Amino acid sequence: MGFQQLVAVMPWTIILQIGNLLLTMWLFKKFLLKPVQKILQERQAQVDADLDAAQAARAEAEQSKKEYAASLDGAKEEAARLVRTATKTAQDHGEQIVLEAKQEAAAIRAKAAADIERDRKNAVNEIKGDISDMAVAIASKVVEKEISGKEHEKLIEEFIEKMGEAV
Amino acid sequence: MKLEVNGAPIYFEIPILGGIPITGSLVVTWGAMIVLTLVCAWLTHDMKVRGISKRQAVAETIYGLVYGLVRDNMGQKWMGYLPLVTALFGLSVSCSLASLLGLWSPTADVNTTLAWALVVFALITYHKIRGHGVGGYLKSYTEPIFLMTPFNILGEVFTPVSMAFRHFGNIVSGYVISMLIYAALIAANHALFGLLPGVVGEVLGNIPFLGIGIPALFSLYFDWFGSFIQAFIFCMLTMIFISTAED
Repeated sequence: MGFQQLVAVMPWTIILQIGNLLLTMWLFKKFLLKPVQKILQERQAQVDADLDAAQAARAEAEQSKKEYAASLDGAKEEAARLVRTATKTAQDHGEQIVLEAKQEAAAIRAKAAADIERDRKNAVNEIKGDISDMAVAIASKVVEKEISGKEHEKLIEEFIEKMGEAV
Repeated sequence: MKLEVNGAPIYFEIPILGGIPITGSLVVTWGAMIVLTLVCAWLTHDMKVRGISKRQAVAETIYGLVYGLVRDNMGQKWMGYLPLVTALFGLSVSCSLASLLGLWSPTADVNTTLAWALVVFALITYHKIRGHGVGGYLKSYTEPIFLMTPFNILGEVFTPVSMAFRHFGNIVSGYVISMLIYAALIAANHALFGLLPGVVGEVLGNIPFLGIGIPALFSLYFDWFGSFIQAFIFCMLTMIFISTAED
């Protein structure tokens, strides 16, 4: 086994070492760079997919939130409308009752007035009768003379009429 | 004491095409390639997208470092040079560190570094021609004035030569200095324990006690630091020369 000189140009060594360098490039590419690149790309793709999914989920959540808010607003409006309707119905009902009560009261008052009028008339007529009898009796006593009912009745009626008006 | 500093060992010659000498540089480079490939294959087998192993984390870290180096020094459109830079760095470091195992360092052979530098030179020239056209490339030798042409040609030729010799010189000087230090330590050891009387001095003087530990301290600089820094410089120059060739 010999040695080459410390500084000597060996063409074959140069050629073979160039080949070794190119071969090493290929080996590194195949066994280190490509596999790691592949994994990094896969990881990137997964991260992208996760991000997309998260974004979609957030959009969906916001959509639901909007929907809930909208339905809540609807419910509030509905409740307000119900309260309003109920209030109005109650008011109308109350007014109706008051109106009816007033009408009834008026009717009762009118009937009472009619009854009073009728009673008064009856009483007046009754008194008229009594007074005419009494007047005839008193007159017969006073003049001592029989007075024909038929002749003087007119006179008496006039008297009573005047009295009745006074009453 | 005689100290011989030789180049790469020549194991045998393949007797074709006038004889192809198979040197230590080639054999150790092949060994380094096998080791690197096995390490890469081991690091990257059975990789997962989530819940990665330490092994995979190492692979991804190495990839990130090399990727960042190429992106920062060359730019995103030059990422096709990732395999070349990775191969240069990996080969350079592993070939230089082979001396730690007592093997011949292929980077202490100028033919190895010259081979790499010639590949880089071919790429530089290719990108210069692609960027400026053949006419523009040839015309660049006559700039700024025609008189400068010989110097421009020299400057162009010395790009790969200086790259090759920088790397080779640093590693080989470390190799030579390590050898000198080791030889000196053995001699000092012999002298020191030879002071002991009789057979004891003979025996102890031949056991290189001083050769333990102290060379490791020097190897810290010449092997570890030198190997990494030279690989780094070679890769940096490769990236800068290639990426500025088209401008």
